[in-house]
Amino acid sequence: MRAIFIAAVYAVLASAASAQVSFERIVQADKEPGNWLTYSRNYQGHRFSPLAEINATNVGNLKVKWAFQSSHPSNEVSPIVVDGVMYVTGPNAAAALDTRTGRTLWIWRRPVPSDYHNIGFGRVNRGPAILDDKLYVTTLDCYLVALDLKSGTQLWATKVGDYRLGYSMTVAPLAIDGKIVLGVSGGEAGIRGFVDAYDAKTGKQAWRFWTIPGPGEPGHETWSGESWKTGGGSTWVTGVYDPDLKLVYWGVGNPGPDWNGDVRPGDNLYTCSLLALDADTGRLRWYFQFSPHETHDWDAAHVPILVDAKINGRDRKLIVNANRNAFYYVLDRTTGEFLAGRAYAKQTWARGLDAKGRPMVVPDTEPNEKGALVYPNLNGATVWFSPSYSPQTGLFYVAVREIGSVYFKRDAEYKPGTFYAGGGEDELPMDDAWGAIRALDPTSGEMRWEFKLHSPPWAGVLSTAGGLVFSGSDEGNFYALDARTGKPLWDFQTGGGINANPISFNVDGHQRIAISANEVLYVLGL
Amino acid sequence: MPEGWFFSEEDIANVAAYVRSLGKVPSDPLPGDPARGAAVYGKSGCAGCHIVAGAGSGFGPDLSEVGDRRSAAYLRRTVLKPSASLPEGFLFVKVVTATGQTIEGIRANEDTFSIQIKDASGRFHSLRKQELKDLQKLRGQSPMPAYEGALDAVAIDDLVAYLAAQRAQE
Repeated sequence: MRAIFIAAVYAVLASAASAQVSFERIVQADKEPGNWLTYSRNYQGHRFSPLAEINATNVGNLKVKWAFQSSHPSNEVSPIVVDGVMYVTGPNAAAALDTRTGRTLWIWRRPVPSDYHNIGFGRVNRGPAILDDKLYVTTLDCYLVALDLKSGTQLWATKVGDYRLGYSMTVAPLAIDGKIVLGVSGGEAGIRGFVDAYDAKTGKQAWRFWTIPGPGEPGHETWSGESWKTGGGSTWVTGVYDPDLKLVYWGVGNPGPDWNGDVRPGDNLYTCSLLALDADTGRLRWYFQFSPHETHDWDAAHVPILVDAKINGRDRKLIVNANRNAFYYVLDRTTGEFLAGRAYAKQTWARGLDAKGRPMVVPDTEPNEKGALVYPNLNGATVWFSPSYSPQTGLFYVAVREIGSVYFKRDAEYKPGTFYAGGGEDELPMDDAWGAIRALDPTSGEMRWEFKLHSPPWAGVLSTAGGLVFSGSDEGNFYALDARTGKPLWDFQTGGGINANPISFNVDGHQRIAISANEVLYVLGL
Repeated sequence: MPEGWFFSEEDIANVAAYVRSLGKVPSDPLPGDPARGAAVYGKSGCAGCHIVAGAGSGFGPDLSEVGDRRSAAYLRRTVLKPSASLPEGFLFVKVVTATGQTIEGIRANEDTFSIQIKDASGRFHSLRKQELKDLQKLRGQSPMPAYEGALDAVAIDDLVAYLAAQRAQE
């Protein structure tokens, strides 16, 4: 009897591991509420789970079902879950886990070269992508790797950039129709950034869009001399996709050197911008620059969110973003037209946004030799961790950091593969800093409620059809709030700072929530 | 000072080695007498809150090797007016619980949902912030009495000399 039972379980796992995750399945993600098929669960970037078993009434009974010790400190992974198997990543590592028990089904590792340096960020990875029979992982030494879903066997590895020049990858790739789209880190190393797409079957490059235009290209005139060659413009956070418009939306990081803009007068396109790229060709359809000539390290590397809503009585296809620069933006995602914007956190660098969404900058807020006190600090009012949109409540949720900093400007000399920053910051003391989860009206950015946090957070937000919002604190609290009011309903001390995005999925028809806290991935359920 | 998060691991190791080579706080020539200072320390009740060389109570910071970490000038400032030089992260708090009990003490830890307080008897209190009637963060305050005026100038010199002499055994 026991042998039969075990055989049955293995049969379930075997059939699960051989599942094919087609592009159509990801487009129709809401038809599979028990799975989590792409970084933000759907192409619209919502990080919303249609599962409702866990709700405001019973969330107090949430318990740990299993934990997985990854051995990757400050792990930022957002897992993929398909048909009973969870796929997780770490720096140059991936694993398949049984969603019932957390036991590993396979592990893949790739050595980090001994001469690799991470310049300006941690040795982390934010998650894999899945398409058909392959798992896609980016590596610190800047390769896109395709793994066989059933075994973790490496099928191919394509070099994306040269890590010796500071190019690196921590991003979860985005799998679309036959292509894997990704971006690079290295904005503090004087790279010239790009967004790339690769053929999902072969790993051959399909297109590249340079985030800094070369000579003769529109936007090149916003750079001076040779500064465009080392102008940064990294692309290190996963974008979103509109399958109807066939546009990929991707955020671009800060210009380099970060805190000394003297060598790069001009707006420095397309740094600190949102790009709308043709998914077939990589051609630029439109762009919107949030922070022209940026000097505080406020990358526009965010997961933007696609929402359809009425604005002034007219149905609009929108793309919205709570930016690191402390402003919330509403754009038309067909044209890039600026529709609305307002500050959603304390900021002291701009008087507001003009009619076209350009910031009206306050004088003397650039870094200087003596130090300039500005809100927010370099990590911004929010940063790479994901916001969430709930179609159920119609609210946009974002984890907000309330902290200022004294910004310094220093000389910057470019040496390939080294830190190219031109200054830095001195954060205000932590007892003067705090954080919050804020619920915003997605069409205006007006705050609907706020839940205060002890310190500025590093964790993303998940909303669910159970009327809940989940997130984590830097002190290790994982917690649930009422999605309509922000009232705290449940919390659990994980023992490790949370630097990750939560997800939700089903195991045997019952809802689970997963969150990574430092090295440990927790899976919780009723 | 700008933070050094951008250093490579090699840079961090090199900077740490350099800082270590700078050595500990050097001994200043001090007017006081450490032996007499030990008596002042004993008579003034310092051991009620501090540990030196394994003896005393652990309510306040351990002073066993404080001479390595703090200059004589810093020690003098703290003895005269403790609130003027609170250690980084130090916070004195006062709470009123749901049952009306008042608890004062040093914050041992805090997160969004809970706070842990060490009271003067050394007892730890674990409290849910939502359940408190009041939580006051007494920034800039210290439970340590100020010895300015309470001890004469010679006794202060002696006490500072005693504290400055509390160094790690080589």
